[in-house]
Amino acid sequence: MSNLNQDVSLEQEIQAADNKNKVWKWLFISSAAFMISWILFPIYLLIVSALSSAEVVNGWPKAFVPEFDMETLQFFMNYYGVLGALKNSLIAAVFTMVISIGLGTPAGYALARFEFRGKETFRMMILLTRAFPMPLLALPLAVIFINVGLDDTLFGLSLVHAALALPFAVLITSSLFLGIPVELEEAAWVLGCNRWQAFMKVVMPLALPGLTASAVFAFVISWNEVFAAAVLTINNQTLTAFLVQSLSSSPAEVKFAGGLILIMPAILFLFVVRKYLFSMWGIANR
Amino acid sequence: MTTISIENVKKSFGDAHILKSVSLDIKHQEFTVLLGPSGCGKSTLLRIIAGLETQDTGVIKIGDRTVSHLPPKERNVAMVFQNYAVFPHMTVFENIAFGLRMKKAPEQKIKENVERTATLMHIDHLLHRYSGQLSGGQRQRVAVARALAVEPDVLLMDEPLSNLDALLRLQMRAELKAVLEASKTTTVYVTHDQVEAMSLADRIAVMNAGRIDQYDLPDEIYNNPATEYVGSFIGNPPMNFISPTFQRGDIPEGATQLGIRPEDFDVSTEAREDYWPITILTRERLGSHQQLSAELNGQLFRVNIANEIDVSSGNTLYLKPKDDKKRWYSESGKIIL
Amino acid sequence: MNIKSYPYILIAPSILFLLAFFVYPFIEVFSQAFTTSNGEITLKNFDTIFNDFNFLPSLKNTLLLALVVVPVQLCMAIGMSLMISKMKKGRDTVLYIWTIPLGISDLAAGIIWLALLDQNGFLNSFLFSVGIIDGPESWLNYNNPVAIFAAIVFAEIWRATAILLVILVSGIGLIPKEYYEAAEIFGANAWVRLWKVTLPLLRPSLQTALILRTLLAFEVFAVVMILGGTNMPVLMGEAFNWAFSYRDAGAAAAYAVVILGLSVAFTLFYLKVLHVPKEAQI
Repeated sequence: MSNLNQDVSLEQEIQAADNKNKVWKWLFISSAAFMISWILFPIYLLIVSALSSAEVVNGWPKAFVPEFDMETLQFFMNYYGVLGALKNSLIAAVFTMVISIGLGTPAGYALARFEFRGKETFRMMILLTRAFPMPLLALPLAVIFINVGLDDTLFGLSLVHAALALPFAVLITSSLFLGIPVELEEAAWVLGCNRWQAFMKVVMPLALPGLTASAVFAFVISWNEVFAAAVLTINNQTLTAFLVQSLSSSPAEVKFAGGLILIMPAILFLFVVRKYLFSMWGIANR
Repeated sequence: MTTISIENVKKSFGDAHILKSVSLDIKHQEFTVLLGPSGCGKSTLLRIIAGLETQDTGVIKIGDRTVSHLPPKERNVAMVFQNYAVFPHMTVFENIAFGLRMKKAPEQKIKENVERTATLMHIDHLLHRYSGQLSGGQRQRVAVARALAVEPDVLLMDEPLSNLDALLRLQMRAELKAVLEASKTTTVYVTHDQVEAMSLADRIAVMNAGRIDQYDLPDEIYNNPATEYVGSFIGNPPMNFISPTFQRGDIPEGATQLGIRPEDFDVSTEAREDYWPITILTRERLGSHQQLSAELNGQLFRVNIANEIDVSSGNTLYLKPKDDKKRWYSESGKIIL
Repeated sequence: MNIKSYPYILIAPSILFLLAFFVYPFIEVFSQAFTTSNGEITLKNFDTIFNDFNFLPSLKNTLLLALVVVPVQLCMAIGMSLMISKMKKGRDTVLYIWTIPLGISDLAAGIIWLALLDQNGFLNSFLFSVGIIDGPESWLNYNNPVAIFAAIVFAEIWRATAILLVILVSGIGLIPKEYYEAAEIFGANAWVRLWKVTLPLLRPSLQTALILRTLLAFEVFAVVMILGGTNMPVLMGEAFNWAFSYRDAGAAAAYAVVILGLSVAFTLFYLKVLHVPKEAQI
């Protein structure tokens, strides 16, 4: 009899534990779902706004589904200065990408493969740049650029953006190269390659996906940057500078369409680089 | 004739003197094993021969050519790495062909050599796979085939078996021995595993703290360790070193230590003349024989005895070192002949 | 060429670039802040900005914003990264979605939240449809500084939690799970494990995350311009106005010096408070 009682209480206990687990699991899933919609819903609403006609955008009350009207986007594209700004943003971002990866990759390789005097100092200098609000440096540079004729040029802007992106490029590429066993290079040397050949034939093919990811990262840094762009460009505005400076004058639908255009490449690019997000940050935060 | 001659090679990394004046002459077509514990400098020496590191001083010759300051690609060596270093972005075929392609060998020859070495290493059915699709043992085979395919003057191997599991290691060891014997390539092989060294080597160089203590045939290394260090590194359990103060009979001049291997004792359960009375501390049954840890006048040593002798801890046993197996060592640890 | 010179050749371009576009402008910002346009040393620029009626509000707003936003984000990021570490199925998808804001500029984030909180935005439309309000109502005007502040807080939390999340997730990934198992065997429940194992071992990551995030909070600019306009001055916005609208590089540089000073002070503060001796790290 007592045995049976024990069995019953044990069963109840298991049942209770089971219920507790279920509650936890439910709580877990619903809070994850809540956080997902917290991120996605505002983006969805921006898309709804950008894909609605001007009357709907400025109308009342708003519908929560898009009418898939291209009028707003078309209006935005034809709005004075937008196309130029879009082009400028692309050019500046590509410049930034080329400069930061072009300069950062050799430095990353040096950090990964060589022991040399001053290595730690160099690494500290790289890390130090992140302890400063870098866009601020656009202020003195605006003055300097006037003196050297780089004022209001996309190249000048990309130099500032590259200063933002270069430290990341160095740290990311160095972690990439560290992830490629040095023996692979040594094997190539022994089998008849010089350093350059071994780098091109063995290291590059293996590092390429990661290098692409860090190039994309540099692109996004430039694409999104507002402050330096607004300070340094006047006639050659990038999209961010254009939107900030025409805030009060441009109609709401232009802002929303501009917002959508701004976030599209970022979202796509993040999807492309998502595999490297961690290796990038994991090491970049050491 | 591919000999390797190493003269007075020294190498330091910062304050660490990894190689302290090493000289070694490796004969044509011989299989030499560099044996020693980690940190003894064996891998550094191998990498210096390969040209992956540069010696601080000293001369390296391969055949008649002085290669001391040539880059690896001009030394006509091949190397097998501990982690295999099979290029992950190339197929097995392209991996094996890599060295030949760098030498701009004709396509026909590349194909021939790749197929020959792949067949030799039993990986001819894997030529179109990538390294990610291979097991550790298969990668090892690719690495060896890749090294053999270039027909190098010298084959260098850096602990090539140490990443394999125990059973596979035994199998690969036997296979490597057969393949390398057939290829007749002068080979330098680095390992910390004495059994591997004994089984593979034509000649073993035992390294200790940046020096070569002994360079000789495996049997010589085992039977006549040149230094106390070699005796205590080779053999399992290693050679016993006993202060000979209680030893009757002749002690060579200058000898401070008697070296005797655990299996080289005459054993008796009863007291006899010239036999040492030892106290047994522990007894381990190892199947083929039993191993005793014993003590005599405060000195500890090990003895291997036959299974038939029935003893247990605390018992006394009587031992006499076999006369022809005794080795004498001086204060500085060198053998006295 | 000597092999010893290789690394220096490889890092030389980066060093030269950083000297030109980091070190030099950094020195220049000070020289511009502390000199007149004729090159005389002066505190006039600081006089100008300190006496400007927007200085104290902008300092107050910037600090207050950081004070409210950063702790909330930290708690959220810790919670989210713990959830990520517990996930098996769908981990990558969830992580991707949660880190989308990483690629979104503060300008775009501001626009997104404007669409929600605008006079005839989605929030009002929703409130209207459930009968709480009768028509379009403007929240984000100068009569309602609390609403503007709240809107900016929401937008900032929405946008910039991702950077903390990524740093913390990678930090948690570095903690071997044996530590948790050991703690569990010795009787620590989930709560104790969080406080005694996870958070202490996560301190280096927390430090990096907090430094980075706090500095970003001092740089807040475009979100505020969009949601608050001129009703909510912040330091970075003032620096922009002095440089761009008032064409006074000296005053803008003085603002930059103030922001730099704050950044350095907070960085040092975090380094000290969250210091982990090298030998006590994983």
